[in-house]
Amino acid sequence: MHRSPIIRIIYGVILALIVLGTLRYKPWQRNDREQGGSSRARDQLSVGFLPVT
Amino acid sequence: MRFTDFPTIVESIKGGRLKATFMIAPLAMKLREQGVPVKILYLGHRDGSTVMVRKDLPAKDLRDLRGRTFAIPSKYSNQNLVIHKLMEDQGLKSDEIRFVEMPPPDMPGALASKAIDAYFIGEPHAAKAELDGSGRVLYHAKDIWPGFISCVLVATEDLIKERPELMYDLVRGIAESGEWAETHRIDAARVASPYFRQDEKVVRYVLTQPPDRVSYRMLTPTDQEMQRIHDMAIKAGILERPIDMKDLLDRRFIPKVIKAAKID
Repeated sequence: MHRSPIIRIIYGVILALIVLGTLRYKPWQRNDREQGGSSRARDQLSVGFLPVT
Repeated sequence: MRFTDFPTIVESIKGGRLKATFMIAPLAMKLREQGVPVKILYLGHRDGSTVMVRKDLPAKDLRDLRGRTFAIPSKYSNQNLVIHKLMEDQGLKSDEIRFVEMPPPDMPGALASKAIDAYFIGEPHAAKAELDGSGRVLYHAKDIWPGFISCVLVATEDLIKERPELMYDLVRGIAESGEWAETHRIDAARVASPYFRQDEKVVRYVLTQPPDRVSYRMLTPTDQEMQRIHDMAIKAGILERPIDMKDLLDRRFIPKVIKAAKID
């Protein structure tokens, strides 16, 4: 195994970035968001109006 | 989809590019008469139209507008039908005032430049002339015809058949946001002004001066009032043959209980 302190620090930084990135972007919620978004897109309806009451 | 004139809305409906829209009630009847399969589902509002005259004219009623130029949004508008009824009530013949059709956003400017002498239109295009000092109110629609109907929600029959759940959502959304607007008029002006592309203070003025200038309640169109508009349209020659109200109206999407929408 890598015993060099520099290599261990680099591994540590990479691991920390992965954890922070995962917490930031919440990939476990991504499918739900995408499904909701496409569902909403399918339900979009253009309604015409003239800007008068 | 925002439009600036009704003929473009009609072309979009006929061309299949638009399947639901707000439009003036007699125009919806005309489309139906022409065989365009549309139904009226709901109203957009009640009242909210105003007869404006040039501020420098001393006119007290329509008799004082003899020989003057009067703008209407379309000959297929209820504004046109009602103003002709009022002329008749005041003993005027229809050719004693010169009517011109004009896109609503152009009316305040035309009045200010004295290209026209008066106009009858839905807000905020009347309040705009009032606020800029070029016009004054001759009549509010509610004083001529309480519960005045201008625009109705129209949808094509194929959309209604294919997406009824969407129609429920649409009509409920209009009903509940209208109920909210009735009790949150200042906030409603803030929310609505970007859609109208108008200064917020103009929309706030419309919704508060007076508070019953426009109403967003009782938006269910009844057979009787639509029949009245229809009969006036027949009399005016706008419609050539009678339309059965049951072919025109579809009220099944209107919620029985209307709660105010939650809008921030």
